[in-house]
Amino acid sequence: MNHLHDLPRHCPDCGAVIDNESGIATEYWQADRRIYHVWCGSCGWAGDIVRVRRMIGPDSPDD
Amino acid sequence: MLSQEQNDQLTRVGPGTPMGELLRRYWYPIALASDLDGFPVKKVRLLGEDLALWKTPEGGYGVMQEKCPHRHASMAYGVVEPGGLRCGYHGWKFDTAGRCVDQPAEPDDSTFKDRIEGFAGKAQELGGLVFVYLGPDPAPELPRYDGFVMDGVRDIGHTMLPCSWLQIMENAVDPHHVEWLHGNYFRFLGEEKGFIAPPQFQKRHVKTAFDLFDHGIVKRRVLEGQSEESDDWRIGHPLVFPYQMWVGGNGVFQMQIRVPIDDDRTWFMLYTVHRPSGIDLPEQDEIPSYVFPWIDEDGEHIVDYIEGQDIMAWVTQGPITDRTAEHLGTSDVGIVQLRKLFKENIAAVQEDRDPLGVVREPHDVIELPIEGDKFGAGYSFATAWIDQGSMRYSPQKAFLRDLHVQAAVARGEQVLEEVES
Ligand code: FES
Ligand SMILES: [Fe+2]
Ligand SMILES: [Zn+2]
Repeated sequence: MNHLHDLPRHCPDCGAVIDNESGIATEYWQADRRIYHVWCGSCGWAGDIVRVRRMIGPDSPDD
Repeated sequence: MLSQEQNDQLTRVGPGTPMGELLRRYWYPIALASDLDGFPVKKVRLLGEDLALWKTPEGGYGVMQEKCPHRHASMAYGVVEPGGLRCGYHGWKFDTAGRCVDQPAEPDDSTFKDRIEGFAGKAQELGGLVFVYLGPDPAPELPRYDGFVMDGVRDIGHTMLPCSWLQIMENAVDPHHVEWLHGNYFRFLGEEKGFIAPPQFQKRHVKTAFDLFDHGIVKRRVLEGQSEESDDWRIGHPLVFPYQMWVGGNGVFQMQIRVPIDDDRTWFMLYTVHRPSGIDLPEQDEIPSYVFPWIDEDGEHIVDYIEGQDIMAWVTQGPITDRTAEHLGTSDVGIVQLRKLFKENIAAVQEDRDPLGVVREPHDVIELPIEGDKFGAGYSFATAWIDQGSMRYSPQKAFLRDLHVQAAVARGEQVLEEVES
């Protein structure tokens, strides 16, 4: 897998370009979740961006 | 995983690079004071720059570009004089600010020298080390971290490593490696080779945390059998931004220093202060220093001591590890945070703000958090560290060991070994 193909290129908040000049995106894994930890140097936003292939909700406790 | 551009930016330390500009906002130890007491001028390298470092007859220090501005002979072969360093080749003389103050072969009335200036940094001594600052004026204060100023018996081991300082710093926010590299691997080696590895390091990590503070990142952990009341969680110990780590416990205090010499060369120093409670500490006339080995005669890593294991892990990653092909997991979140911290502080410098840990206030001492009781191990934590860490190569090893045993006896702790006295 080319891990670089979906490296976040823009800040989810201000839309600024995330590249060497401003910010960083680091990939890490949590089980099968591939996560980019992103920091935007333009506005300071920091957070995780996760690729999701299938969304699974919790079981309702009443069922 | 990072892009190649990000990896390049984080690991290049030369002049004009973003990381190099950040790193130039800090002071670095670049020589032992005792080196210059033996002979007063020395070639050194820091952040990809060659420099001449000298001790002035007045007792201060100067540091300037290695190449003489005249025709580039090395100033490290210069003559130390009152008021400056004189090039060995044609006698041009430079003061500690880099100004050319004499050109003996030019006519007396020449003003040529007034137009010549070499690059000069700043240098000063603290705790037996000569620290250098290469950044812009005004220079910040040299931080007087407690390890460099506290009373105690000092011991300095050091060595040059063929890898990027960033690999070593990433290890400082990687608590899990302790139970694996110094725990599991050490135990395996002991079983194969017939020795007993220190059991203190084999405890499993239950959780880890990383908190930002004024001088870096405090690292905390809860080990199997410990509660959140333990020093390892309540107090923790810090990565001192951007190039040191402060560790210790049970009467041993150690600054682990990783000086970026080049992109792919690091001067690694273990600056240790022993001060077990319960006894009077002896005076030291001079600080013993030594180079500790990490490669054996067959070219293999020496891995039967703690720092040798760390060095194996840092150096075998390669001179600059390929972060485009790594696989970080959740146990690596400290590393993810550290890279972000470097980027934030590169940005701070670009915006003309002081980065993390730059100190402007004059001060006597900066105290850093450190565990008192480490891993719940008692005095044997100290003796195991001496026996199975880099201090086993210290010329004063037996004396250091004895100091901790005697202190434990004086404190009334149960001591499991023979005490000579
Ligand atoms: S398990 Fe971490 S480097 Fe191999
Ligand atoms: Fe280690
Ligand atoms: Zn943004």
